Amino acid sequence: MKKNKIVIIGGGSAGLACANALRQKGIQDILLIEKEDELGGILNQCIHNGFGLHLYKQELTGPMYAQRNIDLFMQLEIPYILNATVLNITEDKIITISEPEGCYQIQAEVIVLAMGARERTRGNIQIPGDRCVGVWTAGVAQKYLNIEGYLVGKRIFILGSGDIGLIMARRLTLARAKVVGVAEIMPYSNGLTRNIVQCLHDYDIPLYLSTTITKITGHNRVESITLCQVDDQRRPMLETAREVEVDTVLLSVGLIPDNVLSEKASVEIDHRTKGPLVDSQLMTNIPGVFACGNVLHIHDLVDHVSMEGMLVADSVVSYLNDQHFVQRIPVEAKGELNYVLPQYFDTNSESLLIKYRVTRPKSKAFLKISSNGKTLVKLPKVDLHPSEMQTFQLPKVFLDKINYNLVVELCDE
Amino acid sequence: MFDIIIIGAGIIGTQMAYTLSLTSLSVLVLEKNAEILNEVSSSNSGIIHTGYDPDEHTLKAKLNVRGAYLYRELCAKLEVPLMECGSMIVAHNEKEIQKLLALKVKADRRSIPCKMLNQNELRLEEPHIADSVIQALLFPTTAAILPWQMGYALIDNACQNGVQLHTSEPVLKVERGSCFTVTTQKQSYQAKMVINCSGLNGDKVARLEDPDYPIHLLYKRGEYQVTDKSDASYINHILFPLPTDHGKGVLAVKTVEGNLLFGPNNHLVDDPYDGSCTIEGLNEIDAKIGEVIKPLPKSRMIRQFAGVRPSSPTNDFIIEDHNHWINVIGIDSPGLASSPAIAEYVYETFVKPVFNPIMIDREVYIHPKPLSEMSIDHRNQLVKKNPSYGQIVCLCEDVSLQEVIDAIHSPAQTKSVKGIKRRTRPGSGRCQGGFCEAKIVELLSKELNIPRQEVLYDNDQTQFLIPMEDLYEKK
Repeated sequence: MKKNKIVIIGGGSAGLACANALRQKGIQDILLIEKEDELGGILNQCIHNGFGLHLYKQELTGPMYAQRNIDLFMQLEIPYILNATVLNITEDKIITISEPEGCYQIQAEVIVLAMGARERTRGNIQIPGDRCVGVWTAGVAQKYLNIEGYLVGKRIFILGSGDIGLIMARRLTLARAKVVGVAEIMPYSNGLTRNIVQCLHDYDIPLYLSTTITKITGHNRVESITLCQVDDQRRPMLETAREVEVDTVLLSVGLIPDNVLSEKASVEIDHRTKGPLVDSQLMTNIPGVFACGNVLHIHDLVDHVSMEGMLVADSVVSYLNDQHFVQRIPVEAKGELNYVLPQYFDTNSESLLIKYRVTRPKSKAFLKISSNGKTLVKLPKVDLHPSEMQTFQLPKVFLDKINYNLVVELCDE
Repeated sequence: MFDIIIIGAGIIGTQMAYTLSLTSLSVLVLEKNAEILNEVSSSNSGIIHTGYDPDEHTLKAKLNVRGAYLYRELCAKLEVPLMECGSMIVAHNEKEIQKLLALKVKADRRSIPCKMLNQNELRLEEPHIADSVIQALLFPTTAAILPWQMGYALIDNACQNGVQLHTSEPVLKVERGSCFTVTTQKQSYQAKMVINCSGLNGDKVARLEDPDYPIHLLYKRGEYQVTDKSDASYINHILFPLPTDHGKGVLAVKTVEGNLLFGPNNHLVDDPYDGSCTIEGLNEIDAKIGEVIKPLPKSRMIRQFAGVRPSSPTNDFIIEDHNHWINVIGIDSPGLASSPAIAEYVYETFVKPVFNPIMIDREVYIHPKPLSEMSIDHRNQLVKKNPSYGQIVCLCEDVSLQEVIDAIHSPAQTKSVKGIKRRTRPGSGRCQGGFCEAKIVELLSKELNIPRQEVLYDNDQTQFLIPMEDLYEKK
């Protein structure tokens, strides 16, 4: 069996950033595996701008952002295979690959999971009605339009105000389709504020909050949808039902980290993030298996994905230098937090970057970090929104004070 | 002139076509949809019932028991997977136990193996059975198949044996003279005999031949929930509540490929093509499945669908000869399980006496085995011969590019995204086509030599892509 020191699964932003950083740290034996026929991942179909503001202090399009990473990757001459699908990973880090050259296994010393996410589908959210053609996830419509050059419909309704849905509302309008509206079941939008303004307001596309689709009707093709307002328990109020004629429904109802492979390798999954449980080195419960990017948790900005890939590169280097963790201290989320990452603090870590999301919009709150009952940090936060991932670098002075547990809490005072 | 025209390429029509293809008869199959097996045959529970349920002295009882027997032979011959997982009917109280015992008497009389299981025995077999269940009746020989896998194997063999299949040709007119003249929107065809296997349209097609045909079918809609394959080990048997006058109830079944199906409910609808799911219906399934198993969270579901079944008012299959016009209608549950026996019965009773055809020993066409079921070495050998077997187009279900190409060019051809999904699975996994649909469209376009905007989703008129250049030219 062929051996590789480090195998990175996925050639999107996370995998590329990790590979590049590893090579820049002098690691030679890397193999990156990509299932598509080109590197870059989902960014290739995100032809809008707004990428790279944090990392490059520039506003790039998705393909431009990807190309920067790909150019560096090529310059660093890192080995990679395209059109290659990983069929299986074992706990012993044996990877089964199928590609046009063959179907074979390789033994890795370190695996970096960077497979990204998939879109939540109609089946996942169970929209009743007919099974006619004309219902797609927003990302699929984006691929048809931006990569293949085809529009999926002319009169379109978008369910869910996730960023992809908002971006597609604008993109479809520019492609001369009529976007009739966007509905969001929550009382607030799930996309970045800048996308609400630039993609909906600027094009007079209405956003219906606390509203959902209760039925899709059509024989061969979608003919109409039934829109319904929901109460505070998110139950449809049938007296508000109204029918809207459309030929297409696009869903932008969330992403799910794609961890089918991780689960095959017995990687433990957090039911909140739907990604692996990791320590402060972003290592999973399987020593030598790391995760970064959307496979770990869903990001709203690609810059954070790249940075996570780089962080994994640091961790891999220390792992290879035999700096294995000594003790894992659990990190708990409390209060109105959807999740906190990492789920463990590795006492060998020289830094701790905490990432979290709130469960609902908060104009004012306090982030309190405590360990073993003692408050380490308490700082005021404003304008917190579920769609925006928050980060907090715990100052080094506090690292020594962590013992027994670490509690990250969002409180009102 | 054909000897026989079969109207409808559902599971009954394909069984009929296959049976006739083993003889010297010339046969034409007319299917109104672009894709075969597209209605009743693709939206049911996929169960090969043993035949304990139908009333005595009915065609259903006779043909179900015989069909279940014939499936073993047929599946072995055509190499179609048959999963003999067994089934259990569960009881929650003393009254229901009495009903189980009555069913057991009926099953014993029909020589169908079955066994009562007590609380401990059944929980050992089914750890996720509902807490309220106290006893169960086990039928070890109940099996599951994928109906369309069977149907495609039948039609591919039939086509290879010389049967002609014309899709997208609804029958509009039937004339009877010295022979039958059957007219579609494309052409007229002559035949000495017509077998009407047109499922939901069975009574309407019968009225094309005899305007006074008295039977009016009832349409029963059943809704289903589908889980991802990762839940395959949640149940080991097909789990039923007690059957009632309204059917076999909301059951839990593991498909051959490992998805779980929960359903169906059973509601009369006016429109045979009303295959819609409703909030109430899905809630009903969620509630009722809880009487059989400990429910799975809603987030595990990847798809919902509904199937409409044609029921005869007599509650039995209607199989009758009208002077060489054979009606095979009202084939609801256990139609799938009975289908090989229905074809055999029609052949023996109505076809053989008229034509007395010669049986021909045909070579069997076997569908290529999915790569996902092969060893790494075996796969590697195939990839070395043809690199397209190495390139995976569907990640969720592990399907290679070449398998899709092979499916497109199978004897009965596949022309739609849905057809590819049924034949080789891309789009049936957890991403529901998110990663692969565009690739499947590209492959269909390339292999059928048509532009992508002409690729069908399933039926005629389901083309769905609009080329960007068209939009800009119009302005």
